[in-house]
Amino acid sequence: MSVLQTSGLKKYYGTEPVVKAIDGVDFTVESGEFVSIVGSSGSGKSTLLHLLGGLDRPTEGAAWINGKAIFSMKDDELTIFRRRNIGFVFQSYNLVPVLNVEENILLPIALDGDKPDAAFIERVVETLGLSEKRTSMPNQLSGGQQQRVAIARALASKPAIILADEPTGNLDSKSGMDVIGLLKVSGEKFGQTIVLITHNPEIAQMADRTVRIEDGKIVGGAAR
Amino acid sequence: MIFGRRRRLLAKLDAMLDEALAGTFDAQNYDESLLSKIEAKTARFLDASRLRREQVEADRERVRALISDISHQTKTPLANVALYTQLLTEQDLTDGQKAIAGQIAAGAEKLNFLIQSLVKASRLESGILKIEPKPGNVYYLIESAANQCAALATAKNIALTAASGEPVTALFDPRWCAEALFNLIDNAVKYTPESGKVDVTVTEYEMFVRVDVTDTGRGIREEDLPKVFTRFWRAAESADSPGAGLGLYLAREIIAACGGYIKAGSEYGRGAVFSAFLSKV
Amino acid sequence: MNVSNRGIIRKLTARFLKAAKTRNVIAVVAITLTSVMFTSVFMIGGNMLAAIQDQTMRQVGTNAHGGLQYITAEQYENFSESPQIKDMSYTVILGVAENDALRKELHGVGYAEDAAAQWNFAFPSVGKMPRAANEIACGTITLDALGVPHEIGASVPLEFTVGGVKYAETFTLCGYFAGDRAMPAQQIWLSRSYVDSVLSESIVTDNFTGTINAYVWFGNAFDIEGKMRGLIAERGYSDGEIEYGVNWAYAANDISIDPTAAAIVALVLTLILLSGYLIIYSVFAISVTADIHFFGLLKTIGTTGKQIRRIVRGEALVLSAIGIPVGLLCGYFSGAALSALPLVILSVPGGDTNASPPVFVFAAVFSLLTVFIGCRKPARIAAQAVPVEAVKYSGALGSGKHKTKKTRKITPPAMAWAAVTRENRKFGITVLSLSLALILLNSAVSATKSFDPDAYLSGLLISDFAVADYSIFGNNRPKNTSGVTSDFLKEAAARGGEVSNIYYYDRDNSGETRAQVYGIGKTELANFSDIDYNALNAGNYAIVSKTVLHYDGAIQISEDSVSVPRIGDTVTLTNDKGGSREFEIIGLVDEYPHQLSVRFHFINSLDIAIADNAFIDFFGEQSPMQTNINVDAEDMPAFESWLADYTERRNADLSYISRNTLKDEFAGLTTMYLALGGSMSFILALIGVLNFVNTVAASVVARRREFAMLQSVGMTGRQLRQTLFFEGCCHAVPALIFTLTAGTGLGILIVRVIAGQAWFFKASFTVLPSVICAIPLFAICAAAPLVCYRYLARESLIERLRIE
Repeated sequence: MSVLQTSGLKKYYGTEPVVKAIDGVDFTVESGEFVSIVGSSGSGKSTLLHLLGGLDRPTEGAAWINGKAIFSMKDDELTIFRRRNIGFVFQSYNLVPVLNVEENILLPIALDGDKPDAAFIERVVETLGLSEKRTSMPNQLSGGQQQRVAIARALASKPAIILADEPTGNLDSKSGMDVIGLLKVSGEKFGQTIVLITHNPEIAQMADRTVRIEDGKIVGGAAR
Repeated sequence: MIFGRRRRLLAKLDAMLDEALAGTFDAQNYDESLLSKIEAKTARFLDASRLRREQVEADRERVRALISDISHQTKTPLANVALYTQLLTEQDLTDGQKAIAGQIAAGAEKLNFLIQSLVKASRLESGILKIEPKPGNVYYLIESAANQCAALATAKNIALTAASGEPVTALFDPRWCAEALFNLIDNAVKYTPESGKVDVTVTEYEMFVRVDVTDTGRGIREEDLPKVFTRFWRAAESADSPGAGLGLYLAREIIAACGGYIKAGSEYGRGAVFSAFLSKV
Repeated sequence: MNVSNRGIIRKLTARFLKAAKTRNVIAVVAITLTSVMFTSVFMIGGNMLAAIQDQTMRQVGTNAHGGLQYITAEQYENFSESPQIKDMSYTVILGVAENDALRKELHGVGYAEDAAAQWNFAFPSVGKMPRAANEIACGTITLDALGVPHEIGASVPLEFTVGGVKYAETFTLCGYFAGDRAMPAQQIWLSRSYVDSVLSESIVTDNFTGTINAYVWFGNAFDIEGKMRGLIAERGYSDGEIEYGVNWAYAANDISIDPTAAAIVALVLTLILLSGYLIIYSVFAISVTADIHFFGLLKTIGTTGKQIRRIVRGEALVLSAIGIPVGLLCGYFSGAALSALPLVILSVPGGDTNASPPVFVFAAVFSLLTVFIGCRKPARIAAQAVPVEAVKYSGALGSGKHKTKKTRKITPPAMAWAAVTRENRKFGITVLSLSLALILLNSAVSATKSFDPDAYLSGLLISDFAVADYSIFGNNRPKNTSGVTSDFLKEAAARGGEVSNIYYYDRDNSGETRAQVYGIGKTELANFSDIDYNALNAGNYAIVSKTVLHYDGAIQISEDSVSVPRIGDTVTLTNDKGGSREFEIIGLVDEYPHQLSVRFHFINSLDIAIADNAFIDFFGEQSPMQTNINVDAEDMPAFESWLADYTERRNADLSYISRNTLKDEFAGLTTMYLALGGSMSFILALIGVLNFVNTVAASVVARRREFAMLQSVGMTGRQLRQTLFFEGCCHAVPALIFTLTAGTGLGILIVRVIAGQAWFFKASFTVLPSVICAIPLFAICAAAPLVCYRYLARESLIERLRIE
């Protein structure tokens, strides 16, 4: 079953000259897959991830998450859809600075007014080695730890898909390996579908499948 | 009033779905209400999907059993082939005959190795063998794995160095992880030409303990890197080397079952690094 | 049916609040100041209204909503059963005091229930109401007139007539209260038992002696007239059977307020609202912009725009919950301090400065309104945070259109100007906020300057002193129009006073007054006409005013109307003896001067001035209404102290106004305007500066990376400080320019509205205060960025460069 599917996705900027950030991408992610998208900077991979996450709207084309055409939704609908179906991990962690670790993790669930699955959260927190940091504030954590909180937050709401945008970009290689390893390990452990964006082939190879993007087009790897 | 009732009803439905997701759903009310009807239908729907799931599960189980049976049933004949080949070579044979008997012996051994790996893999996958990670000193693990490869390394005149030092704790199953690590080191020794080097080093991370097995073999092409851990995969150049393409696959499965992961890095022509990341928590 | 996620929104709100401490302090101070201003203004306004109402009530004689007059005890019983009536009490009328000492004024004698006495402003403040037959309670005015000391137990002689029988008895004082000359009558209370015994032994012939005056309160003061009619009908009486009165002090509740007052109120409220809006908007806009990254993040995670708006509004609400109560409290004190002043303008005797619950409710509502209007746009900005933008947001970039600019020389002032105008809206708001205070200050000072002391003095006085019966200068009726005694005139002349008299006559045989005739001397004539006194004095000549009071207000007779007197016409005057005489009109004036008049007008009557000699000759010898006295400068203090003593001790009915007292009054008046305007300007200035400091601090903090970058490419700290200094000036200079240009127009308008209706107003406008204030303004504007920068410079360059 495919969790994510795009068809003829295009994102152009400007008029003259037109910048084709994404130029006709057809792409499918199956349930439980860990897919990495590699490409050099400026290849359009971040734009693609933003489109996949419904953070931005395409010039043309469509994307379905769990069979739902996301771009046909209104902004607030899309926001609510996002908090129920998509988890994000960004390069710059993007934790809410005024909330502690546990609150950050539970935020998407709380925003949906749901009771968190305590046992599940417990496992996530433990897997990511955050048991002792529950009450810490983000600014008390190292970059690697902050990114782990971000991963826990993405996992917490059991989304259909997690989109990770250069999650190790701001980290030294040691913390980077830690973080990417945890993403992989927890993805497997919790059967989570993950799309990872990176320019680093070493990190990309940890995925089940690698898709290469260049100049807004998929040029290598199995796009399926 | 009506508002409150609607909210209660929706809350009830929400709770039902939560139970369904957790797999504990059971129809509770049997009355004339619509809610009861919905409950019953939900239960029926869940039953149907459970049956389907069980069907798939059973199919898979049959396949596993088959593999297990085949490997079990071939064990005795294979042992016999090996035994009689041994007996045969002790006879007075011509050089030509000896060479043929040697081929048979090698084939039997290869087949035996394959079957044993298959058995392990299938037991691992079917969960017959439980991998139980517990905290332990990584250096002990490395030592026991490296010791098993020492003979082959000495035979190929390869310098095998295993790191040691202050105890480093990680979570692993001593028996299985030693096997996994053995597979990595054995793999490195196999693909390293005579007089090469194989190093086993340890790096401690916040969340993982990384064990690197570095060799001076020819390495792996970048496009092959993602494939090295897949079942029965072997590089085109290695067709002549002994092995079944199951070792790295097994290693990955074992390490993953311990909450860790494996990655490979290489620059083609300059050797390869296989890294096992053992979880610390 | 929504999912219940208010909890997390509340939590986020609380956390965001906790994180922005500096912002909170500024916002709370801003909200507090806003509500201080609202509270003060509502309190001052409320007290002014209350004071005017109180004064009117005293003129009416009671604060009760209405009265039923001359009713019987049975009727009273009947009325008291009505469910419409909230409260009711009564007095019993016995008659009027006939002591010689009390003849000058009306002194009612009767019995009153305690409540009725209170509602008549005649309840003993010392002692108690009479209970025993020989007890009496009255006002201090009565006691003074009788020469009785203010002591409980003093003997009070009283004479009155009931049913043709004259009573002259002596009572014992059991209680007294402060009398008020503004009241239509002074009250003398006797005990019930005494009043009953007198009534029982006399045969009453008129239809009010011994009757009951009932005072009535309804649930509210709207349409009292209708309620009274309804009440009478309800109790089964026909139209006209019962006499009733309506307290017109409450009429203000029915009719609309006059447009000038409404304009002042609207202007002041708008001003406060505007200044409050400006700072609250800018505080929230800045904090929201700084946090836009996180709002975008929240949106990425799945917070909807509505929820984000709720967070911002929630923050504002919490800050209001702190700021508004504090503001109400502070506003109460400053309102109490300033309340006394406006009463001076209205020459209303000081009412109590108190604040009723509605004042606080209105102030709180308006403050809250200001806060909500102020944070509406910022909330929208936050709600519209675009997730992707948020992820890479970095300050001013991306906002606004990027027009291509030609390359200019890079100098600190040029860079400062570019930086300041990068965000036009913020810049405009800061400048406007700073200007408001300056404009108001200019207006306040100009308003005071617009009060012409000469106009004020000559409008009230044409000589050094004016002496008349106290009823002439006050609002009292009836007026004693021949109150200046010959004894006084003799003594004044003896003391070197140069005396000039005004005589007055308005009786008419027809029963309707056609003319108010003044007999004037040389000094008076010179004040309002060019005509030579000798010409007027030469015979039967008159000067007539063209302004006539009609039912719908004063109008000036048009020149060519047929009925208008013209020069050369004659007017015929009649006197008490039935004689009549023709006077030839030799002059017309627009208006007979108020300060020489009896201080009221009859409807449709002409003001006619004739020479004093002709007046005496025709109307007969009488005492003057008013005497204007000039004395030599060196004799002035001695004369004034004699006058003060004379009018207080020798003849309390006479009162005087002098140039000196008027000057003091005028100074008090202008001081009050200055104090009021000054304190408002001060608060506005505080808000303006707060706004400015907040803007600057936020911009410096937001641009610290930019500064670090500039320094890393070789800008020295000195150059940077210079740039920041110029940035401050870039706010001060436009603020000053705005104040001096558009602000002047606005200021002139404000002056017209707040002071223009004063009769001694002479339009003038000064910008001097703003120019003087420019010095501290520049100091603050220049210092604030530097202080912010120094604070910033404590971090090393590398640290600042690293900030994401």
